[in-house]
Amino acid sequence: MTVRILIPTPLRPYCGQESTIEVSGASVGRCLSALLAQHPELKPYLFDDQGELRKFINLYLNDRDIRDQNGLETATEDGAELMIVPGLAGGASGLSAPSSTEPGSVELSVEESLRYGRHLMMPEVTIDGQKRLKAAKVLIIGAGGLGSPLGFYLAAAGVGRLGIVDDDVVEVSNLHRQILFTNNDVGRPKAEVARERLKALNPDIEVNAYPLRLTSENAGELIGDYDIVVDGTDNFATRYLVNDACVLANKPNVYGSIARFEGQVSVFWAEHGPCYRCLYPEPPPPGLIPSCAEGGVLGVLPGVIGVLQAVETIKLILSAGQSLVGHILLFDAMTMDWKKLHTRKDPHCALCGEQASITVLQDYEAFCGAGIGPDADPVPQISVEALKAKLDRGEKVSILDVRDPHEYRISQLPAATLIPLGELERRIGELDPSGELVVHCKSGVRSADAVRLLNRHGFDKAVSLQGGISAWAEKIDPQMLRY
Amino acid sequence: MSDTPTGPDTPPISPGLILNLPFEVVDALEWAAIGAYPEECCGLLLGHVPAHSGANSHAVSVVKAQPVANSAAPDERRYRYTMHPRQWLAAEREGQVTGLDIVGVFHSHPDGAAAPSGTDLELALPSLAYLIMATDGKCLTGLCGWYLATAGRRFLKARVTT
Repeated sequence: MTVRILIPTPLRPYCGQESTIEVSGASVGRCLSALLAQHPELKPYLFDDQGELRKFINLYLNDRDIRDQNGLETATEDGAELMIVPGLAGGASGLSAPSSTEPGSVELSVEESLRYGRHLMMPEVTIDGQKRLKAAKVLIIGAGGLGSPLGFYLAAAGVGRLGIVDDDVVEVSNLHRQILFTNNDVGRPKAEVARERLKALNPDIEVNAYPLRLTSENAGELIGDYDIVVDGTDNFATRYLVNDACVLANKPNVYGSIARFEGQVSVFWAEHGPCYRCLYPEPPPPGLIPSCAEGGVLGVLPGVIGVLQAVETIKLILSAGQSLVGHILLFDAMTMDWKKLHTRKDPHCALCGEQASITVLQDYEAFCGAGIGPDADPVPQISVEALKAKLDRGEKVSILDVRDPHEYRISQLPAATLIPLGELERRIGELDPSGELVVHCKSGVRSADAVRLLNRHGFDKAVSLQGGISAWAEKIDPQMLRY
Repeated sequence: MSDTPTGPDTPPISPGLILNLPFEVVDALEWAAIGAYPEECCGLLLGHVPAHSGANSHAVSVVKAQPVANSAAPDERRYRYTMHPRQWLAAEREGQVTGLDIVGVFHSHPDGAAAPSGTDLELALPSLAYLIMATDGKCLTGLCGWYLATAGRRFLKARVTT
């Protein structure tokens, strides 16, 4: 069974420049084996390391694709013609964020060429890519755990204009993860300090500090001055606001979020894929997902996620690689599991769907339930000063601590009974329903829940300690350890 | 070592590729890139199998840029191109008559750079010239030639002459 194999030009150097090679074999697979026996150098171009036919290699037996027949088992006949046909594919692949400044209109100085030399030599960046970075304008929402590493790397990469929105001041509890700040910065506005640090790293770039809260009133104008928005926020209200403002302004939103040991990264860009609302049409009930302040966070985790946001931002600017548009990357630092999931655009999305009902920015505090939930159903409270006075007078007051045992080990109120909130209903029989009961947690959220539960079980004299043990440490006992 | 390239260490388009594009080919490329904007255009570069043009370089003379329909999914064509294998098949068949070989591939990067992307590198074939045009929809903002390095999977830049 003699078969003529037609070799495409790019592969001819690997078979003595022959354009046609005759082999014998009863099937396509056997013919290829015979070909490789004559010209083993061809093998890496036809098969991958697992022995599978490479994706970009197509085989046509007498002008018919073998995939439509029996694949490599397709039977050959004498005089047949087997053609190796490369499938050609490629493309910018990376989505390109539109630049409001024409990259061709910027030039690099000698100093900049020295600074960015390791970029310029890469064919995926080149001097054109560096000019794109210089022409790019990126707005970072939140100068916290995520904003710190991504701010540093975007500044270092030479992004020409950075904006930083944050209305907070630096607190000492920020320093275990927010690497933009040092001990000396405690009490100073984060946006201003971030501007100083990033300008110190790269004086050639423009850094705008916005020491204000992003609101429905100012979001449109702020975002309008930038090409890409990076979301480093820590609360749902701002996250929905950032998403909605980006969709309405048609800007890409490089999203990252963290909780305890887990992180997520994606790029939401309604023109090319889903937006945040396509995935999460509504926020979770208040209190269900703890913030970093409530649930804690591994200090290094925002470093991992923030750097990934910087990578996605730079790829968008360079139009390089595959963007996370249409995908979400999940990271678990405890198991070191990375999962990349496909995300779908929701055709019924209220914001970016075919019949969108949201056309202007909303009241996101109300949408996300801040101000409803716990506060909508107030419970009786006692201040730390009043509790201290009662104890000093020797009044008989029972104190119930509803925190978790590892929190209890940090600091305790005198003579408190520990029953974590999750165990309270089951262990309620351990408590006296008739006496006065002061319930506390870290800051007052869980103790309010506990008081509601106790009230349902007939504890009429249960009260919540306002501000929790944090308020006690601040106002009554400065020697107490805090967290 | 013989003068005729025979093994994987001496592919015909390496090291040092000079890509010669006649004016009418450049015009055709510009027309294809702008015409397809905001989607990517793609096609085949037809010419002659390169002959030695110097101690360390090879010159490819492109005779014709033949546009091919981009068969990537419609919503991906802004950043992907795919040529159906039958287009290659047809060009090879035609080449047997006209004497023109497939010497390379061209495609455009709308609002992008005239440099290969990660996808371009992943799917690149040896011994082909890759011509990439950047366009803003009004004119070509860049045009660069590339080819796969003999050692290591990376692109090297070709010299483009007209």
